[in-house]
Amino acid sequence: MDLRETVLDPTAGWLLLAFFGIAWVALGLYWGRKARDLEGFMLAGRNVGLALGAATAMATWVTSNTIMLAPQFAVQMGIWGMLAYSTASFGLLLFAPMALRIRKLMPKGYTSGDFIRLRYGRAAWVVFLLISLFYSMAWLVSMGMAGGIVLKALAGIPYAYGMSAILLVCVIYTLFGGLYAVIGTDFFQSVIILIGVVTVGAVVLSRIDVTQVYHDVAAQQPTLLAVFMPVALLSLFNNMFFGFGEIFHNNVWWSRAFAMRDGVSYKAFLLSGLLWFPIPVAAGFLGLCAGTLGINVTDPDMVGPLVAGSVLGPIGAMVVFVVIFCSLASSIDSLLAATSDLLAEDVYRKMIAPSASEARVRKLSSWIIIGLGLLTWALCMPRLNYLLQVLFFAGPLVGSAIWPVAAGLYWKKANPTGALWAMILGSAVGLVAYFQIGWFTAALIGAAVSAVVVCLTTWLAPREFDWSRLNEVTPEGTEGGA
Amino acid sequence: MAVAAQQALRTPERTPAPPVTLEQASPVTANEGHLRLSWKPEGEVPDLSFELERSLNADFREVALRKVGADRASYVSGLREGENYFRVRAVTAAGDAGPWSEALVVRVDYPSRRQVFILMAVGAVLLIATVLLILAGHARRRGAREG
Repeated sequence: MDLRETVLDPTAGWLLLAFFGIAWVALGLYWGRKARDLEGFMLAGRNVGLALGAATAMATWVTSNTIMLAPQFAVQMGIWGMLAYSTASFGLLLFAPMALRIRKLMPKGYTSGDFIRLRYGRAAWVVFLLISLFYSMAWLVSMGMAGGIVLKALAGIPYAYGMSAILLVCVIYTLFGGLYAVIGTDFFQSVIILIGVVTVGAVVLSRIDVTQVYHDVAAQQPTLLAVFMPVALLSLFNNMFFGFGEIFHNNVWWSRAFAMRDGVSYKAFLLSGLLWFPIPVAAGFLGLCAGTLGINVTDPDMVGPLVAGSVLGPIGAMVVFVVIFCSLASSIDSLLAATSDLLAEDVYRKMIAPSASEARVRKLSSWIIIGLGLLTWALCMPRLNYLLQVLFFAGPLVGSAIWPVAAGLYWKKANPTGALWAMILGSAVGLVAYFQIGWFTAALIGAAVSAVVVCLTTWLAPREFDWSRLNEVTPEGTEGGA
Repeated sequence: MAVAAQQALRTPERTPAPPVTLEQASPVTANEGHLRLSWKPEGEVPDLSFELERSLNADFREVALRKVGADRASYVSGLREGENYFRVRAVTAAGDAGPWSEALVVRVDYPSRRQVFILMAVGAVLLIATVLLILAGHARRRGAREG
């Protein structure tokens, strides 16, 4: 049993939870007043500007993992580990031109599933949906569990209460406000996250002798400073391709590309990537300071909050609490909204009831958000720690979708059967690598196999595609211009 | 020193620190260079703290000492390839240290250099190809639009 005490008084934790919970619900309801029709609810009226667009992309990508896993990467893999986590920002940077292309090709599109179905056909679409839904649920459950665990560790709030409170708050405002509420709250959350991380980083740097940190790490954990650190070097590429896969395929990012005004998405994703890049470095540095501060690390994912609490005292613990609450909320709300869109649009409207009215799909989306919230809560409740590992299984799956998505957007002759087998073989070989070599190779190998299959099939059997087919006519007969 | 010795003589019933047992069984494999160690004292004494020693030698002739406080676990990372040795002992509030535990052997076998360089080369080629695919596609579409 570990005897570590919580770094924040439980009463303060409850007060912060109540204050920010009420604030997010109120803001969500306020922003969500505009979400009257389906397009407003799912895509915020396709009229999101640069500031909100950049803020929502950055806030969504700062998950609780960024605050907790980046220091853990530093503790486990040293300097390379810190940089490995930061490479996840490259996905946002590369998605910038892709978002522009998505908006151009599919001005009336709703989901990433729409693109795969129209571009590659139903078989590839089904495989893609399975990958995407598995990944989204794994991400949701990992966020819900992380929320409960962090609130308990930081403030002693019982796991079940903390996890339930975070999920409930996010479900309520996403339910009533849709993407308007998600993007609006993301803006405030991103500002709080940025200020919090910069403040904690600056104060820690001002109070710690970096030279001493170097000497302590060199004495106690010498390999963390080594240039040749095998696992860390491999995780550099693996994490990068995991990030590419997550962003390129997932409807969280596609819905933002559809929601942003013409010409905005390119700058918004570039800006969010640049803003995001230093966050894991700042958070990761905390992990390296633990030894110098005399902090015994028992759980590596808690090292960041512990160091911040130790250096900054109760105020620091409150800042970390609020930053983690914001990062959890900004990711959970996005996942609830984007996954409900995927289920309502791709599964219900495209597979079950093609003639369903917008009002019916809108209503169904609300029920799906409630259902997703309940399912996530039920999976999080038993606190099965192995479920946290499930997200890492998703690495090769999402990695295998990188090339089918990117080639599908830019190559007119990308072969649909090739895209289907790229996802299947990339996932399968990547999972084998996960178990045979290690997690730090799975996404890389999955993406590499998928890329080879896409290139080979396109080269051997090119299939001409008419880009205008992506500009699908909706059941109500509204058609956009390509 | 003399004062401390006199004080020690005046308190004859100082509870000794109990022996400690590491919960992992030797040898442990940690091929990523990190693992969580945990231990149990054989008997409860109030206000115990623990010290963890790490060495590259079985006889612990060169050590790195970590005082871990009251925690009964510690996460160790940055391990060197080969065999790493750990042992732990309890220390009472009065400063009396108990015996060291049996040494735990932790074997670290990182992926081979050949494997690492091959996979990094794959990663580098794939990264360049992915970036080229997207940026070339972006430039071509922009060029077509402007043209």
